[in-house]
Amino acid sequence: MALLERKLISAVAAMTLFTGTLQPAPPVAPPNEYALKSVFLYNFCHFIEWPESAFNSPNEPLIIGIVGEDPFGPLLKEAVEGETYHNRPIVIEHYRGPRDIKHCHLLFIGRGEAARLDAILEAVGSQSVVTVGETQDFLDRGGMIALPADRNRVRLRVKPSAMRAAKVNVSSKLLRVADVDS
Amino acid sequence: MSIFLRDTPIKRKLMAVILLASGFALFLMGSALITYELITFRRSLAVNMGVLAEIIGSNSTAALAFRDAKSANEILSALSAEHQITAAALYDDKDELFARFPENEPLSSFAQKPGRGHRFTGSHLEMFRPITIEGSRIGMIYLQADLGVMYSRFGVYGLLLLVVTACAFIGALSLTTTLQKRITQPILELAKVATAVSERQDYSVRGTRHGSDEIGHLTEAFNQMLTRIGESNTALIASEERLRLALDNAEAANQAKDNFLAVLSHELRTPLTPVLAAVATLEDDPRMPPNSLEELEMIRRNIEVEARLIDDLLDVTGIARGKLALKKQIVDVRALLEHAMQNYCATAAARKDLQVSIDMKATNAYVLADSSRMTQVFWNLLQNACKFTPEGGKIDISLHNESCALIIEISDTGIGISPENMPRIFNAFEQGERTRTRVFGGLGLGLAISRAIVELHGGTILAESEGRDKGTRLRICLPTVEGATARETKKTAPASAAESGRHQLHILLVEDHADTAHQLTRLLQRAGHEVTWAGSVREARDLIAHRNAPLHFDILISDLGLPDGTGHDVMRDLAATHSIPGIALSGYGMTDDIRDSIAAGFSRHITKPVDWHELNVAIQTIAAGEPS
Repeated sequence: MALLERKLISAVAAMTLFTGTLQPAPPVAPPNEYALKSVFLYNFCHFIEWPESAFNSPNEPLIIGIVGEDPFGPLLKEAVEGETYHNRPIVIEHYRGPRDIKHCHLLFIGRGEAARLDAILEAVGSQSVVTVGETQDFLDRGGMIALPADRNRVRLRVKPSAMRAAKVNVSSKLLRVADVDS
Repeated sequence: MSIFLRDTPIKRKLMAVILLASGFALFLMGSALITYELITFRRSLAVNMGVLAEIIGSNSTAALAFRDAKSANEILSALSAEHQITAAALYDDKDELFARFPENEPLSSFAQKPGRGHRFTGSHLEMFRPITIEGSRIGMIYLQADLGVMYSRFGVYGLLLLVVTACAFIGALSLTTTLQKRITQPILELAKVATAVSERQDYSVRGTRHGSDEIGHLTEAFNQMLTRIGESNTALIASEERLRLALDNAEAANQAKDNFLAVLSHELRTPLTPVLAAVATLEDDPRMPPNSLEELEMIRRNIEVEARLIDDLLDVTGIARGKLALKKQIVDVRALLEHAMQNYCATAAARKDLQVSIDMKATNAYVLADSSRMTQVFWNLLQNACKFTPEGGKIDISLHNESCALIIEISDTGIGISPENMPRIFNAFEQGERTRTRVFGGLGLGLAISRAIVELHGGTILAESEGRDKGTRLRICLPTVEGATARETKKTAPASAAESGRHQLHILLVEDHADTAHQLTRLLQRAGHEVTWAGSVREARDLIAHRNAPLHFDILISDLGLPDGTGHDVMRDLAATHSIPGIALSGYGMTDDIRDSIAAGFSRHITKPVDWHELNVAIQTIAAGEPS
């Protein structure tokens, strides 16, 4: 709980920075952008339902994979520390490139992986893996959830059709707060 | 309640009781209902609000999780459909206000930090609920519900209760009005019967019994009581009648006794008068030998004693009937006492060699009294003292003042009174022991008469004695008259006055008893008066009417019992033409007799046997122009 609070505090702090009108828009997203995104990543677990088939065993953890460069540093690890998804622990795995991608449930694809995006998505295939990207065209290129930094804030864009195709249920609550791409 | 309903009719009492009871029941029921409703309503409101908070909170999780205030506000704005909700807010996990409803409501009207649970303020229900994901709190929801609905509902309840109460009251009132008659009607009827009984004394009426309830029992008991009262009343009337008859008989017998006594004393006395007059004449006759004089004196003394006994008997009857007449005037007791001593006691005392001393210390000896009656008292007491004191004894008479009273004490060294006899000595016909009656004679009336006379004068008399043979002291206490002078009381020295001033008078004597008339004429003539005798009313009238002047009568002395009328007739005739005084002579000495004589115009009423001294004094005082 205390941990969650701490995470949220940092997220809110980041949010305040992003939404502050007096703050001039920084050309490059500040490191705090990832504090917020790490919380978002963790929160997705609560609004997405994976099919039973996505797990090999009843106590298999929920795996959040990060492909390529890890922009979060310790932030994401702190965000999921001690948290669970339906009594499953949440773990973080790092993959160097598309070939390294193993069985996971949530895959974060950083800005730097734009060039290799197609290969990554291909590697994931039709598995029940929710792909989370950062670029504006992520959804158009076949991703499921995009967190583009736009005008000092992090936006949330979701493509439910892609998620349905991967047999992943997305909560209407999430859709309600997200920009939905059909 | 017992106080304010005490005097109201039972009808009202019943009404009040029923109305109070129903009102109380309604009030209790209404209160219970409203309280129950209040509790239920609040509980269900809290539950509903809780459910609503859960739903809104659950819907807001994503908005909170992804920091979407806009979406959160949208979710809250859906509450506008719920009219009861007046305000709502979302707080993030840092307890900062995150979203609010209505959106235009200023921030200041929301709590800065969320509270816990729910509470009812005056007009609102405020509720805080945590919003959780997977058991972790990510924020709080705040809901504020208006209680106006509740209040308006209770307004309706209250109104309903009022209407129901009013209806119940009206119903109870109309029911009471008809039902109370069943209770009050029998009571009123019973009261009417009771009134009839007490007004008409008719114990034969009966109350009608309407049923076998308490009032029925009351009626039954009342009727039984009436029967009992009727029976005892009949018995009472009968016994009253018997008593009245007995009383009448007793009174008649008493009357007969009194009349008998009066007639008897008259008849006993009448013969004494001429005897006394004859003895007096003989005693006055200088030719009488001395030894005969002694016998004559003995005869006279015994006749006087007998006359006194008869007088006492008459007095006692008079006292018993409350008919002792008093002619009160201011008298000097010293003179009366001296007179009584000289006339009644001196001789007896001398005969028994008694030492008599008089100590008149009193400075004021004037009392308002009937002199002849008071003399009678002193005579009685002195006679007793002489009678009961053995030879060579002592009699002390003393007079002194105590505050406003004159105290007369007569003590002797006689036989005294034993303590057991003390309470009875003033009773008529009681004389201590019977043995004494035999030894000392007399009827035992003296003290009874004396006490009655003293008490009629507003005084007291009491006897003291150390015991048998220790002597007796009689103590009379009379109220004195202040400021009386010797001049006013001069006439109360009767004997001496009669002796000194003699007037030559022309006396008309009316007396049918020839012996008496003869003796009186002789006595009067010897006293220097001219006497004309008439034997009947007619003769007297003739003398008054045909007397050819210039002689007139100075005084009338008339017997009352005359063959053709009464002395009253003579007095009235005479008074019509001449203004002359009269003296009535009668064997009857009752109050009524004396009053009748005075009413007829007599100045004096002298009871037979005529005491020569008394008659002479009366003549002298009347002649001197002083009505006695």
